[in-house]
Amino acid sequence: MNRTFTTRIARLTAAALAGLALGPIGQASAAPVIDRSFPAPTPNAAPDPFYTPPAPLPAGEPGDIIRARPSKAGPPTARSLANAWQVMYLSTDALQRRNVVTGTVLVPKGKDPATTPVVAFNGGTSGPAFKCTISRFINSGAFYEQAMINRLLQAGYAVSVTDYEGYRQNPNTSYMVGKAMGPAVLDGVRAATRLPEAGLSPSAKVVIHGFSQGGGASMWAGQLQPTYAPEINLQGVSGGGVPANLASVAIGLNGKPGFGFMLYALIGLDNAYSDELQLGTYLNAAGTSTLAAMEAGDCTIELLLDYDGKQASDYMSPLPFGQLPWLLRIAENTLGSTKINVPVYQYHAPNDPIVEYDQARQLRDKYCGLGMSVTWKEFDTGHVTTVGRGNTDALAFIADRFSGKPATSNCGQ
Amino acid sequence: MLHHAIRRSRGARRVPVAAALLGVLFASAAATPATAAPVSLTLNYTCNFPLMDPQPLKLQITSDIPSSVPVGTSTPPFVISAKADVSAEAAYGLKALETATIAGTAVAGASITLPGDVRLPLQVPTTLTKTTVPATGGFQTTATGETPALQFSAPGSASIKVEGDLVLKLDARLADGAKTGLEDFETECFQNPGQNTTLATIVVGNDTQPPVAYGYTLKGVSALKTLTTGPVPLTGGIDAKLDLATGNYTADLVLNSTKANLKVLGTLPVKADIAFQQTDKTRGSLKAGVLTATAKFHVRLKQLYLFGVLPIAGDGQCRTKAASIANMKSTDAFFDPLKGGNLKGTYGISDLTGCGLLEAFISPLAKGGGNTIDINLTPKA
Repeated sequence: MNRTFTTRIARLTAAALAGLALGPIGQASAAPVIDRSFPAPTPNAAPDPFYTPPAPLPAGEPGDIIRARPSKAGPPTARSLANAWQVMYLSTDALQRRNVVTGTVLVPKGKDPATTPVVAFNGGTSGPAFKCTISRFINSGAFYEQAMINRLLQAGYAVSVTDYEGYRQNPNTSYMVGKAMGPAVLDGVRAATRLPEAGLSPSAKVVIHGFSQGGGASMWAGQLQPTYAPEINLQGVSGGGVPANLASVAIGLNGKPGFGFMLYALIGLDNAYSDELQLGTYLNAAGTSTLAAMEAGDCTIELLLDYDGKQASDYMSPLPFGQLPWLLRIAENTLGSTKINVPVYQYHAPNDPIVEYDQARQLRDKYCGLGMSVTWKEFDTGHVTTVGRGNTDALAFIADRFSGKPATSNCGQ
Repeated sequence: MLHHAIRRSRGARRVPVAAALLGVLFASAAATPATAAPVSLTLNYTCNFPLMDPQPLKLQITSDIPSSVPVGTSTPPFVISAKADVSAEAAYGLKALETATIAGTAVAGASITLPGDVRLPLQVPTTLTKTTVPATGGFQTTATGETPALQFSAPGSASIKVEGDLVLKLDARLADGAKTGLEDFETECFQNPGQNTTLATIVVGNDTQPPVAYGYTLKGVSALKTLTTGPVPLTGGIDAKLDLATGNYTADLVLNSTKANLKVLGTLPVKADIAFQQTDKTRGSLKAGVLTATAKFHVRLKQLYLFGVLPIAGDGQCRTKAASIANMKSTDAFFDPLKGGNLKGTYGISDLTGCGLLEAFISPLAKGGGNTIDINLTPKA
């Protein structure tokens, strides 16, 4: 062979090797190349192509990273505590199809990442619009659960924050759909340990935590982990304000101040199963324009405050929740049918006006009935205040799981 | 607080009493500045409050900062006050989280540029007054803080700017006083571009402050050791201009003509009319309560009267050949120029000249050191 040819081969090989991301040992296919070419995050209201899924999706396994870029860990205190990256990773949707999900990986400074445990932090309802993406709020210092992230970082844990499926220009978020949320959480943990810049170990101890939508996502990840991501070194699951039974929770909000969350739940289900559920066919003109406006511009505050006094019959007829395809998918996405194999901490406020208490208590009872270890605690601070009030006890549960302390289930009580 | 009538001396400017008093108390190289002047600046920021689009925040900043200070001045911290207008949308968000009151801190990015274009970044921490969030609409909260103490060691122009960003650490509370669901949260506010950021400009320099004028009447005695018998009464006045920055002054000394009894040949009684003729400005300093003065004057024997009546002085040109130099120092524990005080000093007398027939006798008597001067200064009305 002539010299030019061998040189070319050598160069191509070198380039290919350089482009390969590190993947777990024993992976059958080569991990996809991580595209690091995207510019820095833009302000929330601006476009940002980082979030637009590539078409077609590259080859790879769930949890493989296909895009990464440095980002800000939050406001100044957060930035002093940790380095952060936004990532796009391969995952699985509610119909078991391959998809991509984005998220943020935060690694505390001054610690050896190889021995740093990982908390999968699942955010509460952020809202249907692209500007509400959790990673975008974290980067612009406007994430409402930053206090808990900072406390986790201060405790020395790396934090993996999934955005959940569907946040991009023309969003298609599968809000509250456990079959999509669970994989998004678990693959987010995998992605965190596969990001070379983070330096985290694939065998890092993991605890999953969240409140409200995040509480639901945490329990889903716990339930799916034994079959979907058995290699994750899961130590515990913590969830507060858990919406276990979507129908119960959503129907309870009809005509109430939290009605905006019910509308969003309808949007989320429809986004996950649109061919089947056909929400558009139920909507009147007001419903069509309102739901479109929600996906264009509503975040949590709008959901909390702008739909007080409204009810489903203002926007649609009949109520989709009563229709069989909806009922089947809701049943499939109801928590409590399979065991979580690690200790669980579940908390709820009996006076929660948004996520109904009874259905959360019933989940706890189901879990106890399955022989799980469940520590249950009640707060008297409604919903939005419990977002913060529950943090101290959750942190204690997380610390105990990382230190290997036996959990203290109160199922018998 | 002392209450004195504002003193006025010939040709001098009115000086505020407080400034004059400060000039006394700190009459050393580190004198404190002249009157502070009110300054204000309005700035617009954009804040990333949780859960919402970036929100405007308007700050109206006020302070009292002197427009000029002498070189070498250390200024105490300046109190900075600000009124902050919080948008209706931000208030709406706080209300969504059941916030009843808001308090906390705001740290403002600022800078001081010293003469010579030396820019020092500063952080000005301020405390927010606890404010109730209204049921609807935006609201105003106030913040107060201080700059650090500043040192102006070089002359020129200095400026204090509020530039850079603001970091709010908000303490949002429910009606029962407990923390909201946000717990402790920080909000960064970025200053909108293209605004005037200068809060105050300070001129630093020696000539920024006019000298303070003081005037006194003078009364005392001088004892001319070898020339006169008995003390020579002194009256007159002194008008001084004091530089507060350095503590140095120059003055015009007037010693009125006076009379003395001379001893000539030990026995001849001679009365003399003596005049003191200033040859130069009197100079000295007032530092740490000690007044010094160096006066230069010719001693003139205007007329001599033998046996008290016979004029024998010649053509009236009898005086010291070389000017005398009197070095005086205040004797009070602390010389307060507003009150006056006592000075004591000594001076020498040279050979006399132009004294006619008696020169040969008087000159040796006059000549010599150890002559004393003992005077009291009383502020002129």
